[in-house]
Amino acid sequence: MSAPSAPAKMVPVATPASQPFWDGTQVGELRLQHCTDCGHHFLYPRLSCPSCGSRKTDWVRAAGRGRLYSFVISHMAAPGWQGETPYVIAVVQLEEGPRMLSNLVGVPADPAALVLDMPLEVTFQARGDKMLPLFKPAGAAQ
Amino acid sequence: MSARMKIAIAGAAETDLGALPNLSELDLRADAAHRALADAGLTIRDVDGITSATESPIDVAHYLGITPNWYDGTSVGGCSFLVHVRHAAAAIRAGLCHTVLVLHGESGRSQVGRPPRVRMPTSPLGQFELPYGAFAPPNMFTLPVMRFLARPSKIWPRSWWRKAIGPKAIRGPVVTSDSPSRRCSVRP
Repeated sequence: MSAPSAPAKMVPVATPASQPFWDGTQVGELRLQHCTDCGHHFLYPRLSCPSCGSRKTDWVRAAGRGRLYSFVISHMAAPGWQGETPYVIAVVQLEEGPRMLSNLVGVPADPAALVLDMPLEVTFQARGDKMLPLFKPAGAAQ
Repeated sequence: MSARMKIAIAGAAETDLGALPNLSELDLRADAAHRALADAGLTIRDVDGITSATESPIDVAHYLGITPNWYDGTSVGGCSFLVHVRHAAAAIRAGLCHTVLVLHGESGRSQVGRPPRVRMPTSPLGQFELPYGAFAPPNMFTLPVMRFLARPSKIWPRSWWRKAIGPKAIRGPVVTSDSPSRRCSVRP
């Protein structure tokens, strides 16, 4: 019997529908699905457009730019996050339309440094066998 | 059944709250059931409907000694029991049953008989939210609040934040930035 190991941070596991997204982050691209019928961009990946129901979708590379739509500064540690509090959980409004959850890096977890609608850009960080899309203030070094 | 048929919540009760290391989640439901029946002046012999989220309503019915004509196990998070009340009213109106126990119990502090909350890394949550350390109501539910409060027409008095505290609550008032003596868990 081995001792129970400390919980690890969640590592995403792709499904066939989301594989192109995770293939994208692996090569430094943030990819979105795009409806070829109504033009809507969307995340998370799925078989049909949530705006019009069409199943005619393709993948496009997002610009990787967005704005800070909302955030919380978490002093609670999620499983695997012990020792990394406080951390910033952010909702990012992407230029193409979708909003996504992510973390902010390259900026202190301090309300004085976090202004709603501040411009952000994507950056990538390894998590297990995946590259996670994170965001930093536009133009900032990570 | 008439659409004007009167359906009432005839009784309601809570278990004790706080750390209850001698009661499982199933026991908590049964304890709540007997307290609510006492409040209504009824017994288990009057009951022909059961609801329970997470824990199977079948197991709860067996435990209590009830053979339900109708049951509902809809499990959609913390609003499940409100949904159950509406479903129960609809079931009574449809003639499927007459008297329903809407039950819930959680052993959050003591973790007795608590089924694991499975978080699949393939789910939308597992791929696109949980990896960022958003994992519990305090650091998920305030995300929309931050944006909502930023709208100038929607300024809520700070006092409102403290009103959702029941008489048996054990955590006390919500931590706010103007009570720095308390340990901050999430901001906002």
